[in-house]
Amino acid sequence: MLKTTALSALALSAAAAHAADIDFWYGNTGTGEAAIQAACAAFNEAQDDHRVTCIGQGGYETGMQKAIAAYRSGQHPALIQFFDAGTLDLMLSGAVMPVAEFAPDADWDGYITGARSYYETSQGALYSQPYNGSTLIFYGNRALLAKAGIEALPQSWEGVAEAARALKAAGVDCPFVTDGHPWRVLEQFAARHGLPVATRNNGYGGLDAEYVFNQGPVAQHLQNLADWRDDGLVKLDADTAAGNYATAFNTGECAMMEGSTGSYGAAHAALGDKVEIAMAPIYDGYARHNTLIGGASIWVMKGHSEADYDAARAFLDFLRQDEQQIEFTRATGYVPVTESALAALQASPEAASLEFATAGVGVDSLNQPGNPDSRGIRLGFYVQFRDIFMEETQKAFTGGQSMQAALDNAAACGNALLRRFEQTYQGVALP
Amino acid sequence: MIENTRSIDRAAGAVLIAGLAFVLAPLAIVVVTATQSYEDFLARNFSLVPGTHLIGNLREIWTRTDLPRQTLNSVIVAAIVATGRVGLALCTAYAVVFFTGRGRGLVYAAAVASIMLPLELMIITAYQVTANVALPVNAVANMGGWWAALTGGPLDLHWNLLDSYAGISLPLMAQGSATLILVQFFRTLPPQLARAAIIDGAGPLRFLRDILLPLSKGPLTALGIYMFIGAWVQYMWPLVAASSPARTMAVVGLARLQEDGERIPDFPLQMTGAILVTLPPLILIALFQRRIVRGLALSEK
Amino acid sequence: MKQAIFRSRLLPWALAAPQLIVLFLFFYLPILLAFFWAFHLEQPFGGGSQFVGLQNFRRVLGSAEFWSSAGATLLYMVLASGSSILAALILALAADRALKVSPVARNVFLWPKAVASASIGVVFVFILNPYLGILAPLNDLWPGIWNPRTNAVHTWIMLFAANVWSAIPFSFIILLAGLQAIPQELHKAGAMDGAGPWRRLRDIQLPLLTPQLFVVIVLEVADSLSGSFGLIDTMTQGGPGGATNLLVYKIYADGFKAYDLSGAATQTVILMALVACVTGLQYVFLERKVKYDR
Repeated sequence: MLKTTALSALALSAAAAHAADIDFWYGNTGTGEAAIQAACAAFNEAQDDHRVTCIGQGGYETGMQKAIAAYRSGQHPALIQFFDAGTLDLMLSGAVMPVAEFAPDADWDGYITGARSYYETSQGALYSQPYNGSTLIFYGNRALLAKAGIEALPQSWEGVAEAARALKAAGVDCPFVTDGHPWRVLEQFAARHGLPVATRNNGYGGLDAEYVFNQGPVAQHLQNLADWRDDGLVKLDADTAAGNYATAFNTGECAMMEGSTGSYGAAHAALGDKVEIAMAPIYDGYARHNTLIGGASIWVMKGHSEADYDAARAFLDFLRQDEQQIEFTRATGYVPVTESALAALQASPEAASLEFATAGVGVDSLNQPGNPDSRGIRLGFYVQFRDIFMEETQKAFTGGQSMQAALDNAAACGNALLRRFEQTYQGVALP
Repeated sequence: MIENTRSIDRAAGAVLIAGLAFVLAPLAIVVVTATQSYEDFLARNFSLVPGTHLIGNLREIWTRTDLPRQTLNSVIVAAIVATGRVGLALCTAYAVVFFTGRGRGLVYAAAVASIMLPLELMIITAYQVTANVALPVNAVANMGGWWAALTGGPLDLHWNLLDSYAGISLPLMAQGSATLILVQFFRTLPPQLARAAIIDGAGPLRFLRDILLPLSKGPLTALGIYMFIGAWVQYMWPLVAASSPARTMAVVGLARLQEDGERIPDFPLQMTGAILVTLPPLILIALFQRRIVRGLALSEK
Repeated sequence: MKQAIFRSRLLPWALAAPQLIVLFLFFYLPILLAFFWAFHLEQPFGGGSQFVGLQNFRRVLGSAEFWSSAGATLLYMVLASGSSILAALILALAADRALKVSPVARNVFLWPKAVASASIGVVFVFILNPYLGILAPLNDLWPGIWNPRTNAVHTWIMLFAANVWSAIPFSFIILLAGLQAIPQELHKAGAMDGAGPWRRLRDIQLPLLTPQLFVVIVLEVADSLSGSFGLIDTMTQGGPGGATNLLVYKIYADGFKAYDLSGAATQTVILMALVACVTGLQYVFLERKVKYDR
C-alpha cells in the first residue's frame, strides 16, 4: 500500500508535462450521455496535457460486457463507468485498482456517507470514484392527491396505504405505482429500515454471505405490496396504460410513485409544479436509516502506462470539482456526491431553482444515520440475482405462486449464485 | 381445371385474401401510424386515420436518431456478407465438385454441418472469439509451453474485431448454406462442359472464369440477393458485436428507438423508423421475387 | 458423385481454404470454446479458469429455471414451427390453383422475409399493446381481456402470431414449388377415379409433398430458434415471470448481463446438442426420402 502510494506520488510529479490520450467508457444514454460528453469536452478544453476520449457503450451492461472482452484481449480503456450492482464483480475481477491508492492525495473523505459506503472496501477505502449518484425518493402528484383531500405526501407505508384507499375512493384508478425492481422494493427498502438483504452485512463481512430477505419485515413488505395490488391500491408497470411506472406517473395516470431522483427532470417537464417529492416512506416504528446510492461510479483499470494514469488522475480530479458536479446535477438530476459540492450548491443563488430540487431531498436521504446493513450491497453475481428476483416476484404478482414461495425461490437461487461466486474467486480475499 | 371446382376456387380465393390481409395489415398499420404526429397519437391513441406528419417524422428520424447512419451500416455489412458468402461458397463448391482427390467429402460436410447450428446458439463464445481472433494462434503457441521455451514468455497476440464491419460481417459469413446450394447446382451441369475445357487445353481457373461463372450468373445473383436480405435482417449478432450506436445496424437501431420510459413511446416515430429499415430489402424482394424463388427452390432439390 | 474432372493437389485446397478458415474461426472455434468453458469455472475478466468436471452441468441441470426455460424452448420449437408451416401449407395449397389473386399472393407472401424478426416484434408489440393498440377498445369494455404483459397465454399468442407472420415466406416458397412439381396427370387420374379434392389432397398432394415438408420442418425448427431472439428481445424480454425465457434468450442474459460465462457456455452446449440431435435425425431421414422420390 505504502509502496504504491509512494510510487504514484512520484509519477505524479515526474510526468506532469507528458501528454497522454486515454479512453473512458460510459453506459449512459440520453441526457446523461450528453452531460458526460460535455464534461469530457470541458476537460479537454481546460488543459493541454491530456486528452480523454469518452465512448458511449449504449448501456451499463453492454459497457461491462465489452470491457470484459476487451480486458481479455488487452484493449480495455483506462477508465470505465459501471453501475452500483456490479461493484463486487469488479472489485474481485483483478482488472481494476482502488482509486484511494491510485490517487492518494484526493479528498476521499469528502464524499457524502451514502455515496462513500457503497463503493468502499470493507475496511473503508474507496475503490471507485462515485460519479452519477441518485437515490430513491417518493413522488406525488399534487392535483390527484388533492382530489382525495390529501395535502402532504405520506411519510409512512401505513400512510401510503391509507392515502391510496382515499385516492381509489376518489376515483383515481392508480394510487401508487412501482415496477417492483429490487433496487426499489428490496435494496432501498431494506437499507432505510436498517435491515439486511443478506447476512455478513450484505456481504461486506465476507463472500460466505447468505440471502435473508425472504423472512421478516422485508418479506412482509413485499407481501403487503402484493395484497395492496390485489386491492387495486398498487399498480405495476404492466397494469398501467403507459406500461412503465415513471411514464404512468408522468402522464397523470398514477398519483404516487417511488422513483429515482433521476426521474425528476422528466416528471417536472410533464407535470410542472404538480410534482411533489419527499423521502421514501418507512413503516411506523422503524428508525430512518440512509438510502443507498444508485447510478454509477468510475473505475480505474489495470494495465496502462503511468502517462495514461496521469491523464486518468487529472480527469478524475476534474470531475470531482464542485462546479463540474453542480453542472452535472443541473443537466441530469443526479445528486452531488461530495459535501463540498453540496455546500457550494446550497450557498449558490440557484439552489432553489427547479433543476436542483432533488438534490436537497436526495442528499438528505443519503445522509441519514447508517448502520452496518445500510452501507450497500456487496454480493457476487448480483446483476443476475436482480433478474431472478424480478422474475420470481413477477410470478407472484400475477398469481402464479405465493409471494413467500417467490421470495424463497429467489433466495435459494441467489444463494446458489453466491456459492458459485465464492468458488469462482476461490482464494481471493474480499478487499 | 379438372372438374367443376368453383366452390373450391372460391374457398382458395378466400384463403389467399385472408393471407394477404394478415401479411399486409401490419405493414399498412405501420404506414398509417407513421403519418401521424406524436400529439395526434396521444390524443387519439390507436387510429387508422392517416395524418399529415410523415415528412416531420422522417425529418426527425433523419436529424435526431442514428438510423440514417445505421442504415448505411446495414447496406455495407449486408453487401460484404452477401458477396463474401457467395464468393466463399463459389470457391469451395468449385473445389468440391470439379476436382478429384481426397478430402472433398470432408470439406463439403464441414461446410454443410454449419447449417444446423445458427450463430444465435453460440453467441457467447462467438463474441469471445471475435474479441480476439488471435485466440487459436495463442492457444497453439502456448500448448505445451514451446513458445515460452523459445522466446521466454507465452504468446499473447491481440486482434479485436468487435465494433468493426469485419467483426459484424465475418461471423455472419460462417454458414455453409450457399455452399450446399452451389454444390447441388454444379452437380446438375453436364460433365461434357469441363471435359471439353480440358480438351481445349483450358486449365481449371480458366474454366471457372470463362465458362462456369457466366453460366452461373443467374443463380449467383439470386443467391446474392437472398443473402443480402438475410444479412440485413440480422439482429442478435449486430446487437452484441457492435455496441456503440454509430456502428450497429439499422434493425438494432430500430429496436433501440424505444425510449427508457419517461413518457409514452413515440410510436409514430418508431413506425417511421420501421419503414426506413424495412423498405430497402422489401423493394429487393418485390422486384426479384421470381429469381429468389428459383434460387430457393434450387436449394431444396 | 458427378463431375470430379480436374486433377490438382493444391488448387482445390487453396480454393476451399478461405471458407474453411472463416468456418473454423467463427463456427467451429466457438463450439470448441463452449465445450471448454462448460467444463471450467471461468472468471469473467480472465483472471483464472479452473477445471471443474461436470459441476457446471450438474448445476445447470439441477436448476428449476433451466428446466422451465428448456420446456418453453421445446414448446416454442414445436408450436412455432408447426403453426407457421401449417399456415404456409394452407396458403400454398390455395396459391397452387390458378386464380386471379395467385400471382399477387405469391409475391406478397415473400415480403415478410424482408422484415427482421426484431422489426416485426417492435411493430406487433405496438399493434397488440393492451392500452394503445388495436385491441384497446376490447380492454375498455372488458378490462383484462387482453394483456400480453401479465398473462402468459396472451404473451405466447402474441409471439406465435409474430412468428407465423415472419416465417411464412420460406415455407410457402418451398411448399408451393413442391406442389407445382406434382404432374397434372396425377390429379386428372385421381379425379377420374372419383377422388374428390380432399381425397386427392390426402392421397396425392400431401404424400408427394413429403420431401418439401421435411425440408421445411428441418429448417423451420432451427430457424424458429434463431428468429425467436429478435421477437423475445423486442416483445417480452422473457416475461411475464420468465414464461417466454427461451434458452436462446436465457443464455444471452446469463452470459452478457450476468457474466456467468461457464453457465452460459454449459447451456450453449446442451442447446446445441439438442438442436443437432433433432436436426441430424431429420437430415438422415430426409436424405432417404428425397432420393426415393426424385
